Amino acid sequence: MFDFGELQQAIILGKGPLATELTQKAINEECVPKDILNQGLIAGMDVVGVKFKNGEYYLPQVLLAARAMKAAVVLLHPLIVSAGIQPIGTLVLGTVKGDLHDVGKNLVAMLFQGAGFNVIDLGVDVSSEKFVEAVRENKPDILGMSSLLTTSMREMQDVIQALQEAGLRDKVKIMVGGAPITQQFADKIGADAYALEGGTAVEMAKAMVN
Amino acid sequence: MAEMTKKERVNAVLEGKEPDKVPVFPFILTQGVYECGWKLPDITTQTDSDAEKCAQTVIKTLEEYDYDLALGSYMDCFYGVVPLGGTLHIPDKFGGVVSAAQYPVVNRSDWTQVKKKLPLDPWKEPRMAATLKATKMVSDQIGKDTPIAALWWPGPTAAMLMLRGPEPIIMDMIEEPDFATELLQAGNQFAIDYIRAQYQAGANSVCILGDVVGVELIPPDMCERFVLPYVAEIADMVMKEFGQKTWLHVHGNFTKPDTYPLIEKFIKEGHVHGFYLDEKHSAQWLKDNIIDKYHVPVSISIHGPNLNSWSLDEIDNFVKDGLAYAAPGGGVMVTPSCEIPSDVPKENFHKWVDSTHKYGTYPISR
Ligand code: B1M
Repeated sequence: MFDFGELQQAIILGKGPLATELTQKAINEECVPKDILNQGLIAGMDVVGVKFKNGEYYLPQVLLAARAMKAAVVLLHPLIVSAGIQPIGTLVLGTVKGDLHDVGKNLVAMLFQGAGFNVIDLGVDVSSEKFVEAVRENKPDILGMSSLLTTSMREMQDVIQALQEAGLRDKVKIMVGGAPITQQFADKIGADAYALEGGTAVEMAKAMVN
Repeated sequence: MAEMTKKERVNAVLEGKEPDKVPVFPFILTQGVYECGWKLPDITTQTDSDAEKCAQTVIKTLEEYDYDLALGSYMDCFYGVVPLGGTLHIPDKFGGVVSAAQYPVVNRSDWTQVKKKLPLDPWKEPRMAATLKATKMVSDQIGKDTPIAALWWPGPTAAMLMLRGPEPIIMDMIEEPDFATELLQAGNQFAIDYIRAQYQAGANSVCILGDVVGVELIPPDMCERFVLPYVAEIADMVMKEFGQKTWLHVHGNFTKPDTYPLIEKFIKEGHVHGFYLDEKHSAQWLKDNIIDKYHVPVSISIHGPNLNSWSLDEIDNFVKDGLAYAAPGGGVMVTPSCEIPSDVPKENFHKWVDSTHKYGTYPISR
């Protein structure tokens, strides 16, 4: 019987070649694609998120784990599609206008992907218009905005305002994060959620889409 | 105690002694541009900067805030990017800062071509040469009594900012450590050349080495391998060629059991003479764990966003409490973490400097 724990470990330790090898083995052994995804890959990334949250992991370990997962998902992708497995939700994500910090945003994206979300990453320095357009086009469950600068965090409010004006505000949940953001700020600008770090962001998002 | 010149004041701190009053290093980069009423495109383009204006940012902010340790010029963090084939983002909106829009080394294979353009001569690369000319002007005008620091980033940060961006560099460190080392060495050589040029242009005090990789982006074992030796190389050059000390402005939380030992390594193997840690380190922690333990001077950092959003009383209390604990015995400066925010309210900036000079006047007792 296939050992999902071993696959999880390969992800947790960021061992890309081993993760793909084990994923292939699971496919060959005709494991259910959903189980490979949930009990192997996503379960492994969950642990990575927790380790990062606890300060046990630093950025490189998360990067490695995310890469390992990505490589394994490539193998699994055709089976996921043919089995009709849906992502647990869609996140449109970007760093707001004026801000080019993307390490945290990318990490949040990886953890969301790792948790089974479809992530549409708009990149950095994203204008309100671009956020609005992406929400209109992709109809995500959650719009995530990241900002690391006090000079740019106010842009988040402009985005929310623009969504309101476009009649889209109540069609999407808004999550904000980044070093200078606080719960108080999130409440003030009318965001639905604030997360201090990526692991918590994923947990909150899962609760939101449920 | 008799009033010291700013140079004497900063020197006393660098030696771990009590000055007449605690000095302020506000780490002014872009804020100086806005202080002068300009926008970034008024002072710099992709390929050149205005030396006169670069100098003016220093003179104007010194006149306005009367702080103690200055830089020689307006600088941004991305010299080298354009001459090596990348491009810059130079926002024209108030509060923005220059950053890299396109790095020169996108794929590892790009390095072969990019490295042919190195080394860059800071005196010939127009954006950098303008900052050197500005440093000369500033030094001529105020360098007799005012200490002027040299500034740049050691290997990993230099390579990240000039060549490749953070995630690719970190992946290089993990996947291709030899390749990463080559980039880091190139970054460090660039730093050495630029710092040397700043001293030749008129910098006359401590060298501030800013490292944003630290243990903020990589774990302690990687920091030891990929940050420490580059810091040592620069600190040695600065001491040997200019007789100046090096302060390390390194990011990340050094209060944890796995990161704290790096402080000792930076002192013993990195040859740094002082620490300018980020806002995660309280005055109490710095006093107990660095000044008293290693007899090495430190700066107490106020978090940039707090300097922006706190009330004047909150700023005053932060300074008062921090200095009451850490300043007795000397070896203390104050700094913002990281640089002073470019949109800091004037009255907050004044309050921070004035409170430091007020509560930081010796003798200070706990
Ligand atoms: C959607 O929901 C969510 C939920 C959670 C979310 C979220 C979204 N987004 C983030 N999170 C959260 O989850 C993530 C994972 O747990 C976390 O993301 P973080 O991004 O916080 O964490 C990352 C995993 C690791 N952390 C980081 O990547 C940031 C580290 C620090 C050191 C930092 C770095 C590396 C950089 N910087 Co910058 N930089 C600093 C940072 C110091 C700090 N303490 O944050 C900060 C943010 N920088 C600052 C500054 C001032 C600047 N930086 C600048 C530039 C840079 C570098 C290029 C050198 C580099 C960025 C490279 C890049 N491509 O991202 C400039 C701005 C450029 C621009 N226009 O954006 C410049 C202005 C400096 C200059 N003069 O050029 C400071 C901002 C202060 C302020 N007033 O706002 C700063 C706090 C440093 C400091 N201590 O003062 C959480 O915040």
